[in-house]
Amino acid sequence: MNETVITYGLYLALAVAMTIWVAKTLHKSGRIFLVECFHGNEELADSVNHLLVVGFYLINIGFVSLYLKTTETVTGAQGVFETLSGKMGVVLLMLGGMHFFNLLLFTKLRKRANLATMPPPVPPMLRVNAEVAQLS
Amino acid sequence: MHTLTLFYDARCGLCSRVRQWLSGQPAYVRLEFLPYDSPEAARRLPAIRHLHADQEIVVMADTGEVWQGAGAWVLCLWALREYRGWSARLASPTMQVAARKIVHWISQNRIGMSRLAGFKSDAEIAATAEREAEESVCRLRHDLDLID
Repeated sequence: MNETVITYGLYLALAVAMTIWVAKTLHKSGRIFLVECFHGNEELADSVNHLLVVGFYLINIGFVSLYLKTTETVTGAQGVFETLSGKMGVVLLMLGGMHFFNLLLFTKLRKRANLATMPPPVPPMLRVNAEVAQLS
Repeated sequence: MHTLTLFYDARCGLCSRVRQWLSGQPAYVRLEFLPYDSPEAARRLPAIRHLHADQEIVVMADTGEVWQGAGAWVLCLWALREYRGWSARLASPTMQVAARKIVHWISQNRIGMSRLAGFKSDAEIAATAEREAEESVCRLRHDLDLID
């Protein structure tokens, strides 16, 4: 087992562990957002939450796999740390990007849900008898 | 609120074009359009004759609230599914000041702008349709006379 394989092993273990941690955090903290978006429909919120997490896993683990191969030869402990650190840096930035994208999605969904029940944003200048207004 | 009635100027091309656009948009509430000077408008909102509806659009909810000018336009956006977020943004006091100026300017120049853009008003479209119907009746009578 040479240094390159050690780097690969460490990279996979760390990257997958980080992906699982971020996905679990999203799953746990995103639920309350989704429940509000779907007007308290917990079943639907849980289903959407689960689907989102599955998508998150697929994208991230797919990226981690594609990004595994290194073209430079790794020599010594220093080489292992340098290559691993470069790879993990990119994976973490990618995870961060995906995490913020998910947050954006949650906020958008929440805003949209709130819009449906929003009262008129400007006060009326006049009020007339509602019965006359309803005449048709 | 279930219905929003818009009292618009059916003789203005720009207003009629906006009416067409509004009626084609998915909305949270039902939108009704009435020419501001129609007898039906006077029956629904007797106060309309004091509101100078020829200068600024008037909007009335079925709950009896009435808005005019920039506020009325904000309500139109609020009624639409795609634009409710915009209505909240435009409703802030600073935006309302700007909106009031812009809406007032457009209202003042709407007839000239309609002519420039070549927009036909609902009144013109209705008049053309009526004329065409009359002409076809005349032609029919003429053809029948020939047969006799």
